[in-house]
Amino acid sequence: MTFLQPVLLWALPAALLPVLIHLLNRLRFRSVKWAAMMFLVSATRSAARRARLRHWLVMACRCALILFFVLAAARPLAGGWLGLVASSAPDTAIVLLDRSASMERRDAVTGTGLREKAIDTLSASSGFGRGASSCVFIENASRTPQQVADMGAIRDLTLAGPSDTACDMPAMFRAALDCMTSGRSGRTEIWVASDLQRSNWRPESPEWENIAAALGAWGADVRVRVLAVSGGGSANRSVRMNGAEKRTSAGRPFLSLKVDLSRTQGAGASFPAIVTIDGNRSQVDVTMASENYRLALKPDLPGDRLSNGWGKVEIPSDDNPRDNACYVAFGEPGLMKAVVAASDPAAGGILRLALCPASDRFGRSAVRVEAADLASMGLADAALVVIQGNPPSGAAGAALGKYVESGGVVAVFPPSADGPAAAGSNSLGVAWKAMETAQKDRPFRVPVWDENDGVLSRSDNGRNLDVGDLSVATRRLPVVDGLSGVAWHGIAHYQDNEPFLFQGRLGGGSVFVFTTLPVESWSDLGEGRVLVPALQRMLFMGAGRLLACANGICGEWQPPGDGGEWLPADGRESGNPLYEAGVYRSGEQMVALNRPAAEDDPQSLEKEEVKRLFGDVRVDLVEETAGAATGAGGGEVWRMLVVLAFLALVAEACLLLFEKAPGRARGAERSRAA
Amino acid sequence: MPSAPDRTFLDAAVLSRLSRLTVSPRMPMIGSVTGIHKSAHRGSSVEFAEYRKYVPGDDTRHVDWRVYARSDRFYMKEFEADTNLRCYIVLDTSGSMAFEGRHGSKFDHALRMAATLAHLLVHQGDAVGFMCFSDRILRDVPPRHSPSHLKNIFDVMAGLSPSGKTEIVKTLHDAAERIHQRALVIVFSDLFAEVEPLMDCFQHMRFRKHDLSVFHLLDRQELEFDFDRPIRFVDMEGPFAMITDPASIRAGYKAEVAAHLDAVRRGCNEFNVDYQLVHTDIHYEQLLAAFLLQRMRKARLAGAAR
Repeated sequence: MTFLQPVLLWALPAALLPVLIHLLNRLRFRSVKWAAMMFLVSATRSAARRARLRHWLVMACRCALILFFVLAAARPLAGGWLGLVASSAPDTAIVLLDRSASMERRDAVTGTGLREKAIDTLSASSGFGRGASSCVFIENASRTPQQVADMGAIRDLTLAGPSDTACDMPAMFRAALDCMTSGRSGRTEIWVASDLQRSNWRPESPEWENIAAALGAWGADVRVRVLAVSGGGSANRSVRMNGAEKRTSAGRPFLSLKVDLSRTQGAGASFPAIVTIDGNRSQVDVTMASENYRLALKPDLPGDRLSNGWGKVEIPSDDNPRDNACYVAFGEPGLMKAVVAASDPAAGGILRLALCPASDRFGRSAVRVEAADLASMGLADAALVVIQGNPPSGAAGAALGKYVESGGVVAVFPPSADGPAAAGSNSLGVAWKAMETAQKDRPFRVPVWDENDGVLSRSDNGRNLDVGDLSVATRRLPVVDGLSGVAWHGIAHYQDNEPFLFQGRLGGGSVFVFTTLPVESWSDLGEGRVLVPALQRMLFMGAGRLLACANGICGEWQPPGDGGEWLPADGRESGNPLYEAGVYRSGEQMVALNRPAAEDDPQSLEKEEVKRLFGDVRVDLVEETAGAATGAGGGEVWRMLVVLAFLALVAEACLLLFEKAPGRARGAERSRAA
Repeated sequence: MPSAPDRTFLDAAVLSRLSRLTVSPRMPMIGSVTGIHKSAHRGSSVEFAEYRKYVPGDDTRHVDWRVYARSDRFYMKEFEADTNLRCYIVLDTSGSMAFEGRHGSKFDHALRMAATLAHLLVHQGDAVGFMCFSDRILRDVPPRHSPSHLKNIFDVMAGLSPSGKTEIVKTLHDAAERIHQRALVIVFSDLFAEVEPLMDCFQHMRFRKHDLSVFHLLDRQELEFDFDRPIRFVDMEGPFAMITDPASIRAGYKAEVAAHLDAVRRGCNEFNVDYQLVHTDIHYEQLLAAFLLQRMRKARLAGAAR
């Protein structure tokens, strides 16, 4: 049994007050000289046993009265038949089931996953479905309300099964609120089964204020019960695809795979990994040097395979079977087109050359346009858009923003003319501070950059780019707080920690911002040792969305509107691309779907954080830990305890009011006989 | 100068009011002098009692010649004899009699009644003796009918204080043996003893042809037991003490008291003991007046029946 107000249990010792008062009364006796001792002794002897029993029963009733009142005040939750008979039923019960990838963590002893445990607990709990006239089920992947008869029916639903998606808890609550409003649900209980993963609940989201306000408007008619399932995952390894690129070395095609591995302390560091390329399996023995490890694989591709393909990396199953595989789809990008909109002619020319040294060769093309023409020219087939100067606003800015959100990549260079621009005046939210010029013999250097990942990472042969050798005479630092929802992070920094190059993800695409120009008066970036590989990698990154094969996030990817059926292409007999990771094919198109990266984040919310999200709305938090059910998840049984207290009161009254000594009966009989 | 004797147990007003009443026995007594009570023997009073046949040697002055004229047989007239009353007042002076309620102690109450009765008896020409006891007979003053003897009895009474254990059964048996001739025995006690041995005492008294009256003194608090919180009850006749919650045993206590009173009453009825239950909250004059009037009524009825 759990309690909603456990602090009141500190008042439980008050149940001993009747005993204490009884002992104090016994100490307060006075002495009386008594002559009729023979009657006293006789009465005490004859009534002793019965009177003592009645006395202790009265004491027990008084102690029980206080005990039941204190327990009722602590608002206990009980499951099973106790919660069934003691708690009241709502009109509508809504279950929000988090069936994201992290909910498949399994208990090492029982082998039961958190999702299954949550379903079992809700089935056993008397609080759900019992007596409710309407039961609604909402899961995180589709967020579509579904009427069910009872909890037993949910267990059999496909939509209650495992998935590789993430959970957007605020969105699930919005779906629940829509259901309550449209269905006129009356007294409603919202049951949330979740592992309280922080990335799912997103406590920093401003949506919670609206959700709390909407729930609060229902007043006492709504009640939220959060079933927090936890445990498992103590011996777990996960694998995540970080990047894949088709390469050729000495005429030998291979697939350059970057796989990120992580493990908990309980999981072994050495294990075999199975690499499957288009159905061809090979094994790689892996030894993780640390708990987070990047594995670089270069499986060979068949010589005649220049078209699309897929890859899969698997590690042995462990406490969470949903994070032991990652997928990738690769292919030839075709003609990669770059669009350069530069206000400075010199910089524009260098940028075009860096992107496409020779026109129509190497499968690349670069066209120079005016920034204002971006709206009319169409960017759907552009792999990369390079803006030198202030990003456009108006229609061009809107087209650019739409391009980025659809997966496009934009590289931004500062304007060559001085004068800051407001960040909010363009669709990318990028503005510039004033130009800064370095001292003559002390140019700005870039000693820090990300060598392992991103556009400045080392080459396939392990050689670093010459980022540290860059000499920057003039720079313009950006102001990038004009857009909300964009996560900016630095890729390279000057010696004074100001960014040289940083990246922001906007929708499906990325924006790279440089702080210097590739013209001689600004820096030696135009020499190409850094600029060319960086821009080429950005070009490849942007070209990924144009491939016949694509890589997406399970739960975020939506099939194109052509209505084709997407079937598993990775050897599985069945699979649903909306919920399950894997490789899927529809006609000539192929997509590799992986679980969201946020599902690997182990951080979870604290109980108090959960309650704070809902403001004044009444929230009951029930815990279900692995291996031991510590939360009943059932109904409140305080009413039953109040009834018991009342019965104890009545019993005490009966014992006191209707007490009858045996001597009185015998005396009455003697009187009648006389 | 010697101090005046303590006579607080005597109330002149009460004595004055009760002086018109007489202490009457319920059966013919055997006295030493002529008195106002019927004697067990035949005497020479003016009151005709009965006829009996003449036997040689009888005094011929009492031959009823009219009967002889009618029947040619000789019959002698018998006349009632009047004698005085021999009374023993037996007072319980054990420690339990010291129990004091709201209206004084049982001992004081008993002493007042005993002294008043003694005064009445002496002034109506009867002989009064006095015994007091606790675990044994402590004082035994033989009966006399002189006023100076009454003073002696009052002096003994004044020097009494209740103490010691109650051994009423043993002492009543002892008293029954000590009182040789038929007498009126008035016992003042709280009768804290087992009923059956007590009834044996009463039966002993009756066997000795005594007219036994028992004044059973109890305080209202001993009857009602109206305490409201745990009390440490200390025995007045010994070191025994017990702590109990009166509320939990009140019903049983009152049942025990009722059973005891009932048994005593039935036993007294069986052995023709004149039983008087005395509540100390009722004035002793009222009780004595009722007692004396009841006895006078019975004596008149007994004389009329004869």
